[in-house]
Amino acid sequence: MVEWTDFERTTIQDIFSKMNYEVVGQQALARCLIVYPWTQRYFGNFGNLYNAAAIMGNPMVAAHGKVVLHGLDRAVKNMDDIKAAYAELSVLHSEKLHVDPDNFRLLGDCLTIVVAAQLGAGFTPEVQAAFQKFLAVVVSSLRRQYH
Amino acid sequence: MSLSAKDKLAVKTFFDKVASKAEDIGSEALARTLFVYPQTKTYFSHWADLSPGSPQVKKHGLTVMNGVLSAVGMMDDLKGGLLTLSELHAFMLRIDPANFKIINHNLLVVLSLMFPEDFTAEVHVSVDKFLAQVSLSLSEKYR
Repeated sequence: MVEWTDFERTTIQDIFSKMNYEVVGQQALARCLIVYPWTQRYFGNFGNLYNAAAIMGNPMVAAHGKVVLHGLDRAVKNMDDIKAAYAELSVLHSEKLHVDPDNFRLLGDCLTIVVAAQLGAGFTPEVQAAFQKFLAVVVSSLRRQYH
Repeated sequence: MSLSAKDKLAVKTFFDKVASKAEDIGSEALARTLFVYPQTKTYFSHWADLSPGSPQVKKHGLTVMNGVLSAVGMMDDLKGGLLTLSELHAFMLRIDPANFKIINHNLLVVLSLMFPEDFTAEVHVSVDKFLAQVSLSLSEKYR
């Protein structure tokens, strides 16, 4: 069981309640595909991913980014048992999508950087620590059912 | 994953723009390294004050950032240019090279929050590659 301080709980609820899922989702996934191009292997049917501009403008990337970001809602709503909340999604990523779990960390890093750009000075070291701890728990839970 | 001409140009252009804020960037990145990854504090047990605003963090943040900025001018031969600094890190400081990834991540976070318009995805990938190459060159003399 992960222990969360009041500050951490409030910070996470706050970030996600103010989140623009469409913008942040698109930005985070696009950035991941651009900065770590090998992640494109999972998106063979997304059409034009040939360069940064194409990726940034790709509507399938935008739509999927939003889906992935909303996937985090499950954790936001179940902070006291993220492991259980993600059991199903973990099986999905392992058995059906065959995603190398290292990619979760890469996407998480891109998401951190996009949220930092959104919040600017509001993304203090304390907020960063809470956000990264949250993402680490999510990533660990998503890895859990791999065998 | 070596630096293409495009990467070098993107890195140089971006860092020329932000160089004047070296102290802010470096000290914020170092502060976050110490705060978000507390195991890194083990390298600074000789400092009185490890909190974000401390004068030691500020001063050292600038030292680190100046190192990064000097590496921008050495992109055609990072290994050669960073030889002395590599010896320093390997033999004197003996910082576990895993920590280079940590400070690099925090540099990216700080650059993103301070320069959201300029730190585009394309600049991000080139800077990430550059920092990875710097880390590799700094690790050169370790063994």
